[in-house]
Amino acid sequence: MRRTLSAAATLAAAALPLLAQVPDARLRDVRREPANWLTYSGDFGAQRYSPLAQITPANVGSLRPAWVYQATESGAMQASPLVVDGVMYLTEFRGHVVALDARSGRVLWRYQQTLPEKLLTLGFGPTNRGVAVLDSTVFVGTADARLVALDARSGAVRWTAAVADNALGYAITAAPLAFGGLVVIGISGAEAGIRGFLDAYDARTGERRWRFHTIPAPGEPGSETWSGDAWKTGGGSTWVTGSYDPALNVVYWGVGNPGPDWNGDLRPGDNLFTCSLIAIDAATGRLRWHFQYTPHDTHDWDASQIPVLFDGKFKGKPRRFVAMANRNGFYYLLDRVTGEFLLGEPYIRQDWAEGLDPKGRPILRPNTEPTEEGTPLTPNLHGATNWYSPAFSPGTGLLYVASRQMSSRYFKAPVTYEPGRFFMGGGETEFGGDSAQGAVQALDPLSGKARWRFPLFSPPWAGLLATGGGLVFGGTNEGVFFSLDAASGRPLWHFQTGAMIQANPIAYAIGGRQYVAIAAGGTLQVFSLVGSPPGASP
Amino acid sequence: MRLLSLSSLIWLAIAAPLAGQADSASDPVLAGAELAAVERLFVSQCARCHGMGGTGGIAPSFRQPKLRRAPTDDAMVRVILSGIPGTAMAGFWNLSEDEARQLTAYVRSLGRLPPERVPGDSGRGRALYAGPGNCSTCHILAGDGAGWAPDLTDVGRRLNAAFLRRALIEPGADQPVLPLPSVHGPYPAYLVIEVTTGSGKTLSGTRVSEDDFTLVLRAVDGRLHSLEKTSLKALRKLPGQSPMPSYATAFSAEQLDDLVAYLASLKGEQ
Ligand code: HEC
Ligand code: HEC
Repeated sequence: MRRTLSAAATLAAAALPLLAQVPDARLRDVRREPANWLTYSGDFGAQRYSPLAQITPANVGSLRPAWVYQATESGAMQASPLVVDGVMYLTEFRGHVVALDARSGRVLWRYQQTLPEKLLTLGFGPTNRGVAVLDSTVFVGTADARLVALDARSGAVRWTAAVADNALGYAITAAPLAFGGLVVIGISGAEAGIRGFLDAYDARTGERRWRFHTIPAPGEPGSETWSGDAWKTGGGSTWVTGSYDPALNVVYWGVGNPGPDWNGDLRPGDNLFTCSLIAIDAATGRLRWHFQYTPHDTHDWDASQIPVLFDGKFKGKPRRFVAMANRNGFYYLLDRVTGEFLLGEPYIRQDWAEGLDPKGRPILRPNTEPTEEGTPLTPNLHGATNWYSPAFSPGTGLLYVASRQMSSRYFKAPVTYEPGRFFMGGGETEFGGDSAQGAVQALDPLSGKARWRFPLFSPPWAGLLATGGGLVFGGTNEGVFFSLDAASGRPLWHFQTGAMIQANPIAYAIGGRQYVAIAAGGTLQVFSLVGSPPGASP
Repeated sequence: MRLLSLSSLIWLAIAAPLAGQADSASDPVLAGAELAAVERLFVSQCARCHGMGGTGGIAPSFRQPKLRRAPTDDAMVRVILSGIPGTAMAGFWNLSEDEARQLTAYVRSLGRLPPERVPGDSGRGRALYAGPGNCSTCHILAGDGAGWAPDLTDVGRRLNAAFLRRALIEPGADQPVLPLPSVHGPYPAYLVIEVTTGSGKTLSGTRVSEDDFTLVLRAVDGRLHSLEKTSLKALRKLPGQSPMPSYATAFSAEQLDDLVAYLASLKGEQ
């Protein structure tokens, strides 16, 4: 009897239509469900803000480890996990995907990534920064430049799309951005002289819907900023996940450095759309507008940072903003409808530009180009910040940035393009050790001025999280995960994780208990308050 | 050719432990066009992470005689072609074995000192080391002595005579460097720090470890002090100072020659 019953129950379940786990509507309205962390940056505006308020400046002192996940693949995890209804989706080094019970840390399934033996990751190693989720599918990019769609419940492969040719140095490290039936994915490889692009794939079939080339071909808009064949190896990677405005249906994405990195003689001109922010119509893949932060870059200052979206008033007028603390040392505020430059201010001590002109173009100081003898300059190639995320708190109205104060000597060298090899034309010797520092800074996003700064021992490689409880979380190279008062920058709590932190924190909740998570080395470490939270379900 | 002068320039520009290092041109293994070609290869394929001239960056510096992961030339060829799993050092399978061998020779040359003739008598120097110098109260040498100051077992491979002499006369002028784990080096390994604790006590010692919140100091008596930075009233870093006494007046010029000759003879071979 019992057997028949359960068989019948199984049949009934099978007959149910597949429930879409995370329909687009949920992604558009993430603020209604703060218990989850549904996109790479927490929301389409890329604010990396959690409204959760159980952990506060008053009680953060009793934050303790809840559980730790140890990766099976050796290598530092740089991923920002997602949390969907109690399940965490995380990627390890080399891009394996694991689904974990977000309360206990127990493994639910694992997708083992197979990478070819002859893999090319020129300049970064086979790291992976996370997944995207839409409906009941999890999307992950691979180091050999494929995009893979996995069933969210089992990890089974739904489809695989070949994005580009890894033999030429194309690779994927970024987390995809999924919405409205599309999966948008960026590409890495500018150090190999690729021609960059931003792609969108059909979330259901894996078919490519559009491609925007970040380096225009002759005749296309922007091609006047290139000469000869330089565009063919012009770089312009899109290796950090962008943001999205559903109301405008526009994707905002940072574009990386031109190729070759340091020898600009081979590519005279501004080299659009490298080191720019591009605003792409999500329906067509066409360019709405662009803003170039660093024209004709020769210092590897990719604009591969997070474009943060928020709304407010500028000079009395309501505006929709896109803000970016750029690798070149300047913070920029733009109107995200038109791309109009509103303001730009340095946020570290830089010495390559006198300032910005009224259009936001840098006013160069003399003798800042790399030379054969070496040119000392600030910031160094890793920039005033890097791929790791800033955080914006609607509560304090402040933009939190982990910044790097480091100089180096830039060299130029002759270079010729060889497919599948480094194509850089120079290098640097950095001024490290005690001469370099970092900071967490709280910028007033409407003026670019720092409200407070918390100094860091060395230039960081970890992002920040702001919470509704009034906290900012961050990590250090020395392995410390820490929390600051979001209003004052006062340090409130810290924990030695045991490995360099080069990842972004997130927050989520289960059963009324708030958790904060960060990857450190080959582990993911999750923290919550000691004792049972008020109103927690058993 | 240009790159050659470039690497010696870098060399002057940064104070590094292998001071007075030879131009790689004097290296017997690599010379002329072959050297220029491998140097080009290094700049284009390796300098991104290991720094121009192998001075280090997100990857280790090559300005040292021993490499942790590449103790032998064969091991280095393997590291270059196959990489180091779990790190940014991906295998350069698209280089030929020949290129990997040349790069290995080049990388080795960056960490090697040129042979030099050193005046002085190393036998007498050895006696000074063991006797009146009291060196082994701080240093360890071939397993003997106290181990908190630099291990001198192979110091003759790491430092040239001029550098050794300066270490005896002006300790603290050049600091051995410590690549703090996973962090952009070089950090001086024996930075002297003086702190005033919450209770008003003054402590001084060399830095063993530091981050934003913690500091571990080793006092002159060898004892470790683990401190929370927020509880300190004051923290002063004293670059240029050293716990090592200067031997400029304690020893005659001749004795210093002998000591330098002895140190220069220490190659670490058992
Ligand atoms: C993308 C960055 C990157 C590039 C490019 C790179 N390396 Fe490395 N390399 C590393 C890192 C990181 C390590 C340290 C790995 C570890 O041990 O944790 C390393 C380690 C090494 C080591 C071992 C060092 C030791 O201390 O034992 C050798 C030898 C080496 N690399 C040679 C090369 C050569 C030769 C090239 C150029 C063909 C090269 N590397 C290019 C990142 C890089
Ligand atoms: C009180 C402890 C102390 C004594 C005694 C001492 N040293 Fe040192 N020595 C150090 C420390 C600490 C350093 C690290 C660099 C610095 O602070 O100058 C050092 C550095 C050196 C160096 C440079 C090593 C490197 O790797 O850069 C040499 C060579 C050296 N000492 C030789 C000697 C000799 C020879 C004697 C005895 C004649 C001696 N030292 C006595 C503490 C000591």
